Amino acid sequence: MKTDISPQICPIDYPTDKPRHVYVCENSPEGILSGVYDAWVSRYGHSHNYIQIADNLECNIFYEYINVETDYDKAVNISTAVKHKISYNFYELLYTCLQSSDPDRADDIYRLIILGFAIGDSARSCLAYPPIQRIMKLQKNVWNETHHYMGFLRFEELSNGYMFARFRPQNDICSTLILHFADRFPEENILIADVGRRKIALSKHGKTGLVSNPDIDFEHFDYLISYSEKMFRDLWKTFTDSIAIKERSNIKLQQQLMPLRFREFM
Amino acid sequence: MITEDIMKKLNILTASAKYDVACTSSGVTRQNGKSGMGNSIHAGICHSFSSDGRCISLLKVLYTNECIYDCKYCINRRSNDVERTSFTPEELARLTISFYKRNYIEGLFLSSGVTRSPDDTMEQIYQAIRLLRHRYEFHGYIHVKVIPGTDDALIEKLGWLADRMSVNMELPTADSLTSLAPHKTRSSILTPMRSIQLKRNRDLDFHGDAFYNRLPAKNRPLISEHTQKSFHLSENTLKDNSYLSDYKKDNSYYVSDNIQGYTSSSGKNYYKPVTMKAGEKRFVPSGQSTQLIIGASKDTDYEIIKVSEALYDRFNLKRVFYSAFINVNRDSNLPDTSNGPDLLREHRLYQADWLLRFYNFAADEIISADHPSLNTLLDPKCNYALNHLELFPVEIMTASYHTLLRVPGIGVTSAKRIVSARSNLNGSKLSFNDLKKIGVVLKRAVYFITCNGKSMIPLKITQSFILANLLGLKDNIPGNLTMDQTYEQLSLFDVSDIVEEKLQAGIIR
Ligand code: SF4
Repeated sequence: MKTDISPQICPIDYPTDKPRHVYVCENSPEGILSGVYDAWVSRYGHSHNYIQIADNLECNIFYEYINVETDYDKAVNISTAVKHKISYNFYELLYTCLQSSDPDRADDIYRLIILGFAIGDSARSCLAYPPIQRIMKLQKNVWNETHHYMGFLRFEELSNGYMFARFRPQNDICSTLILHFADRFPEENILIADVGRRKIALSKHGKTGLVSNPDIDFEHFDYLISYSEKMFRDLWKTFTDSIAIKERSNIKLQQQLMPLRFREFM
Repeated sequence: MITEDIMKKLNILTASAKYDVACTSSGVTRQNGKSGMGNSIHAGICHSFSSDGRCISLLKVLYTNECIYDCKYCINRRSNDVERTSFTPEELARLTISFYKRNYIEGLFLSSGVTRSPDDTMEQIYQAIRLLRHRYEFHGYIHVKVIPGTDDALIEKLGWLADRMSVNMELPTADSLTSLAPHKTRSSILTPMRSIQLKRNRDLDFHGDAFYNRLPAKNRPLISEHTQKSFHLSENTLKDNSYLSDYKKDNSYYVSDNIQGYTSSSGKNYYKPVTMKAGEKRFVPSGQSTQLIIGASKDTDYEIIKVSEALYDRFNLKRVFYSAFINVNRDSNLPDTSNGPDLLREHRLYQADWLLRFYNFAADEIISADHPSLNTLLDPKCNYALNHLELFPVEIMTASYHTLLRVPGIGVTSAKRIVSARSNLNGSKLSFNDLKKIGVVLKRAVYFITCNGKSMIPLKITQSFILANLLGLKDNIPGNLTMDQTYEQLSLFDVSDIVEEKLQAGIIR
């Protein structure tokens, strides 16, 4: 395991010789990357910077708080630099972590990027360094949820022929899921709605896109679902009921394998 | 299109297919082209779980539940008075597509009773699959069950369309097969199985992929002398077929003893799941599996495991599934299962099977003809270690990869990590704490390892001491299974507490 990381670039304990600057950013991938950008160009010193998401912020009187304006160009600036100067795998890791919903992820992502620019792609394997350990946990968590929803997402046909699915994931994963389903159903038009984040990912004729709109009325979709859907649901229920072997019944195991939070729209 | 009629058919044909256990969709990655529907992912995807806790990933149905055979254990046997029905190819294809499109399933698992003759039935199944693949351009996963006695030509046709094929072995010995499934014979089962294997090998060879899932016995680096002689089939385990011995294996595909265990001497990948590009055709790319019924006959675990080993080694099977017998017909000539199927036995067999497939154990190391039943109290790996204390403790800093694999509490991943950590140490040493981080389950492993010459348990270790402690571990028997025998907790004190304490106090590092 690599442990020889210079303490200047990657502090574990923050020094106290000058007040810590806390960059407070919006809870979104662009927000976090804008924070990373601002902290970086401040030249105040990485070890004195900290990035935090604005939600449930607790203030400490010894710190200075700096508000980060979310700036799409700054975010793109960071992500393209990561993609071209570090590696594509590293970029993917960053992307996955940005999808996470962990409230403390922002600073870990900052440390990941600093280390990546310092030592290159091998930053991903510095498992002795606590922020990277947390990054790996985030990645695993996002992957697991994505994999679960590849199976548990349910599509319903709308009267205009679109296949529509709703879910309420913990992590912001609808952009990854749409790629999977766009490959799976290249001839269908697909909508995947993240009800909690009010986002819709869509795929049409193999092209994918993302719409984020706080005013989307998801209830409205109920009226668009085609009549035949109930029949398919019944058919599916017939199938799942008759596939179960009653001699082996084990409801507890079923719940453990398919936690209720996945079943809201099943 | 969907009517009451389909609903009823689905109900009947699902209910009669449910006892088949295989429900994996893994082992092949297939990209979609620009048209049609579906792709496959080798890790497999679960879409739901039924109330018995099993994963639902495939539309598992029978094509028909009519049957001219009379297998004693089967609900569809011709002597049973049950409602009979069949799908048409069109109905089946549409049902599959509409389920797939809604993301209910990963694909289709089609099995069938025998109408008129095996070939006649398989021909109908072929028509259904062909319709699905070609007319509906379905690229999802398809597993087809092959009826014993199916003609070679049909296997050839079907194999290019299906991802997985399987012929059920049903019972491990020829005698029990004759008595419980009078219309099936060893050779009617093994002939199509061999045929699938040879055709698949031809395809793998053409693409330069490796054949085998397991190291052959003589290449298996084992820690004990006595384990090396073990690889032959006793005559009565698989009598009435000449296939099991005459097939010559091509050694160039085997793995040499290197840590990755994934690269063969010729540089070809081993274990690598087949990846198919859009439109590519491969013969049964996800491999062949089979199923054994456990507890319908008097066959012992020894016979079962020997047969599984032979199936892996000589027929390149990907998986053998075990299904605890349920007396669905309430047949008084068969064992009574009114207290529930023997799930613990099934569980131990799966664990033993795991040792065969991933740990390079030989069947004779796991179980012997003198004690032909697996120990239900302990998992087979702990049981092996306890009975071979002379081979332990193993020194973590020097033991080979395969030796590490034999230690209870060290799995494939942690053994690999140990080996790679050792080569990156630059003079420093691994500690017990490191082992814990690597993922070694110390509460199992402590009795069997030393690290830098030190043991964590400074007591004189006896078999009964270890047994007592291992039996005390909570996860010894999975939470969803219950034991018939209640056993006394013999443990004088809980070693896992001591281990934890010492790690924290930094006494052992
Ligand atoms: S062949 Fe035997 S196992 Fe298969 S459906 Fe007929 S009776 Fe049942």
